[in-house]
Amino acid sequence: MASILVVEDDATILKMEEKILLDAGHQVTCCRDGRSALAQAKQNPPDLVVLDIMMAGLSGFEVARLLRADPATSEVPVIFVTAKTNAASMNEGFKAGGSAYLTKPFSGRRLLALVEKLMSGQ
Amino acid sequence: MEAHVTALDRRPTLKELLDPSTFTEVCRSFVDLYGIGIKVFDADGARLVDLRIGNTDFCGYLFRMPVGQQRCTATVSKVKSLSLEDARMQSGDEAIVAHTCFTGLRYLVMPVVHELDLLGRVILGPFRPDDLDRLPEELSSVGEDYDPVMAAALVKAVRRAPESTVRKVLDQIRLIIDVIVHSGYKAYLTSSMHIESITAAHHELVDRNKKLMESLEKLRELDRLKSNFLATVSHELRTPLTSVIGYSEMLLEGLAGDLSAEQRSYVGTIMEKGESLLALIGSILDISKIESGRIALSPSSLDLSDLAQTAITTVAPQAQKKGIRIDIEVEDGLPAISGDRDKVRQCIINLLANAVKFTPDNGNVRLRIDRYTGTRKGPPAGREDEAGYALFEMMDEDFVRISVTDSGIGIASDQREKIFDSFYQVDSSSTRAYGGTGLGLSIVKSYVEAHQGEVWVESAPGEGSSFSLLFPVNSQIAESAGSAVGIV
Repeated sequence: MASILVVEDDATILKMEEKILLDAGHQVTCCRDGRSALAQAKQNPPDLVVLDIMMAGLSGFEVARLLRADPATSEVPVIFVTAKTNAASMNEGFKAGGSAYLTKPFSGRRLLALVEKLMSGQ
Repeated sequence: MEAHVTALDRRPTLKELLDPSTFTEVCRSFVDLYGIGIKVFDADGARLVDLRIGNTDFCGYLFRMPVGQQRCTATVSKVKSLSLEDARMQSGDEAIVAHTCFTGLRYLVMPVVHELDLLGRVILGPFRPDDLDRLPEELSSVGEDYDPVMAAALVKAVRRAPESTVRKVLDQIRLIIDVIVHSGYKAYLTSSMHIESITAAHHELVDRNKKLMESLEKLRELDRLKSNFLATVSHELRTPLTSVIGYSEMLLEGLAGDLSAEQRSYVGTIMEKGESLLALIGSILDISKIESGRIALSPSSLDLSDLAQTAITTVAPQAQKKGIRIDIEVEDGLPAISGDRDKVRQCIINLLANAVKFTPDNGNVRLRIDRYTGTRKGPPAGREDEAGYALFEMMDEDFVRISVTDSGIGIASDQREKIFDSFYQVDSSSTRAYGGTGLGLSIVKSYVEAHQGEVWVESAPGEGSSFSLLFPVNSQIAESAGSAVGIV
């Protein structure tokens, strides 16, 4: 069981992600934007972050870079979940320190498999 | 069109109408024959012909003296510049103006006129008029060294003739000049009109080129906008689809409790349709990438037999629904080809999906992979403009051929090229009957060509179609930047 921070500006998708992760027994914290996600992560570093890319204000890429820059969260793995399917965005995601890249629409099973893989790797 | 001065607006000069060297020769024969010098000037005073007679020692003698030089210069300048405005309107003998020099010698000046335009003048002289018995007394004022006896002896060498005779000579010259000017003018007009028409054609072409360049730019811009728009739209469509598919999956997974069989079936339909919508968005995005020339290949060595099996798995559900059997036949010992796994698989899937779509219930579809050695039917993609590309047509190459043959409706011969165009279906009613976007084959063609391969179609309407993809065996596909990505 892991504590997971989910950052997603689309409320419906956020609720879906929360439900899938909760149902698998994880502890979930939800944020609708990058700023509050960073504050939340600093205050209470999660085991893993599920991060959208296209959000108003800070983009997912920026959030990931800031997480990396902060010693408190620099080791927390990040899964990007995004509708950006092009190769350049994937590359940027890995450069920003992402551990995995999942394109929308995504399968809940795939998300859970990734979470499990990243958590067992620690 | 830009305003420009036409060649026809301009009057030719005498120099342009006469061929100066030939004309000089004509004048020289007159000079030799009559022993009188000839000068020809154009309307601007430029000298075209200047033939002097060798025995003008008389003039030279006077010219050596200061006042003589002065007066001689004034005479020459006078015959060169005296007004011919009145003479211009006259014809024949009336047009000739006589000017008597301070020595009593005489010049005759005749205008050269064409269509009332004064083109220049012919000066014949000096000659000694037969009414000049002796040199004028006041000639002694030319200088202190003046010797009347000497002058009288020298002047005898100057051609003596009645003015009327010299006028006749000048009239002969005029006839010749008229002929030359007339034909010269005709030639000038012809060449001017020629130049004029070429200039006009040139201006028109420049103008047209400019317009074409402008519309090309506009089209490129529109094309770029369209591709951007498609990329944005397909991206924006993914977000709601994420929820449609995701929540359906959650229901099917029982995350909201158990479902009845009917509920499962309905949710299954929602999910299936969501996924076909997703595939459609994928195609639109693919085509927008293809059209903006951004196909990124990540090549590896491909086992086509394996790829074919996974492709068949993808279309199997649709085939089963229609009772269509898919046969697969793979030649033994096929060489491996270098290619992008996902894109080659996409090509096979698209061909199979089309074959299943256009084959009636209980028909059959055959997928065959074999080695093929032969010539291309056209130049390799992107090399159409290369000089000598025809050589490619003559060379045998080794390919791996993937053929998909169906027992469907077939394609008329005049449609066979068009089916590879984006959004094209043989007729629009087929969209309603068979569904789809008409992007599948266009994507196949672009992907195969990105692999330096070739696509063929053979078909007999009513009996079925056979699509062949040729992938060259020995080509090395360069890896495109930014393509090595995936999920860890």
